[in-house]
Amino acid sequence: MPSLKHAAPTTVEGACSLLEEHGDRAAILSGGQSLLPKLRQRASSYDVLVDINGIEGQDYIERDGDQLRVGCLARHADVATSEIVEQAIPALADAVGLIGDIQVRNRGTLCGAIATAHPSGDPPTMVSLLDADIVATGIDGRRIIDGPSFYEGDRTTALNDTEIVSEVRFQIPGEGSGAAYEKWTPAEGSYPIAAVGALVELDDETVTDARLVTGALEGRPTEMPDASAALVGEEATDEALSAAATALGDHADPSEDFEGSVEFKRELATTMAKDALDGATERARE
Amino acid sequence: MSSETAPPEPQSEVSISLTLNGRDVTRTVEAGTLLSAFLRDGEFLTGVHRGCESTRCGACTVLLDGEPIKSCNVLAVQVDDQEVTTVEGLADEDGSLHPVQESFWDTHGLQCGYCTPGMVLNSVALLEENDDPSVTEVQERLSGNICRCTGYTKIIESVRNAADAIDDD
Repeated sequence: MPSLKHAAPTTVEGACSLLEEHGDRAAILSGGQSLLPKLRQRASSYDVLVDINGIEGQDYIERDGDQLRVGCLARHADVATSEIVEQAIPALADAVGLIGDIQVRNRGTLCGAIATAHPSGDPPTMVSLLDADIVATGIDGRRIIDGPSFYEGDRTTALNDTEIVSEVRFQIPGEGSGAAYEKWTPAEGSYPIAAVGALVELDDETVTDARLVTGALEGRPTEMPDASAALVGEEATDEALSAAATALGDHADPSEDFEGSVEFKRELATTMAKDALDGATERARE
Repeated sequence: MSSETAPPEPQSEVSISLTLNGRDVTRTVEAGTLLSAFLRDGEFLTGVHRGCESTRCGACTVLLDGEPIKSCNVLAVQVDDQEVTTVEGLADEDGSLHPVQESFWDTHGLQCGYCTPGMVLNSVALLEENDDPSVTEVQERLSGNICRCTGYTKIIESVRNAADAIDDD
């Protein structure tokens, strides 16, 4: 490991002032599951690690009206096994419960993964799907960034250099709505090649609203309005859901790389979309 | 900014106190020391196996406050004030093995043994949470621990047998 300095502030504000003081030479260390591999491989270099693990009272998971609030030190394992999450947004518990493996989930934090903005990360797709609010705390105080505009590109977010994601607030799907998340990974525990989140609102059997978001395909979570719009007003039949899934695959714009061709990824996206739509529709009926 | 909220000065060396395999230890470590390096090179706990050094193989798994983590992906400073258990800490003082170790031995749950400390520690934590895991639950739980000798059949059988052995006690 390269030589580093370590500072453990006891408040979020203290962490932000360290970021201000040390600029791009400083990085936030929470779970460290993405940061430490990068440091070890010399893919990133920092002089100062701002270790936020000692900040008290930041590992909360709570329901506030129609929002689910998760603090910056809640770990994936806490979110995945939380009864509050399971009740409010089971799709989020599913998605987070399939991140990496148990060892990674025991350390990694949800807000850390949201800020890391890995193009194939599961939490960013859920942020976009569930229209989450990102609470960013910086030296000038807090501001709220809405989920769909938080991701500006591959590993690029709307956070500025002195801000950290101090909380995420997910919108809980209302009565008659359901969400689901499906992904395809080339190996156990690895990042997905294609992922799809689906949100469906039903009135009786008619789709009154739908949202589809892809992950892993285009460098950041990508809403697929053309595919979801065709569902609205339709009956939630197997044919209609299949047609929307096919439309999603057709509209997806993945790039070819060592993991697969464009055609292969579109095919995967269609399959994941159908599974996610089936799951979301099932939950909407409950 | 008041002195109360002034953040601490970053340090190159940090003092940590932890409970390591039941013993209280206080050490000074370089800030960038990985937990796996601290345990092996500093504490000579060579049962912490470095496999891939890239968070994929799980050979370096240890328990942090009873939960499995990969020690190649955590800094030593991050375990301050916590409890770390390595495979060396599982047996009783008289040398009698933990039931999970016993079961891996009896069931032939290892060949070369390189992945075994990680497999055993993850399984110990699993059985603390779930005393009768199904084959699927064991498979899911051990998905972050890779064995390259052979298949996983005997490993999974070892965990199931350990669950039965603990249940019989």
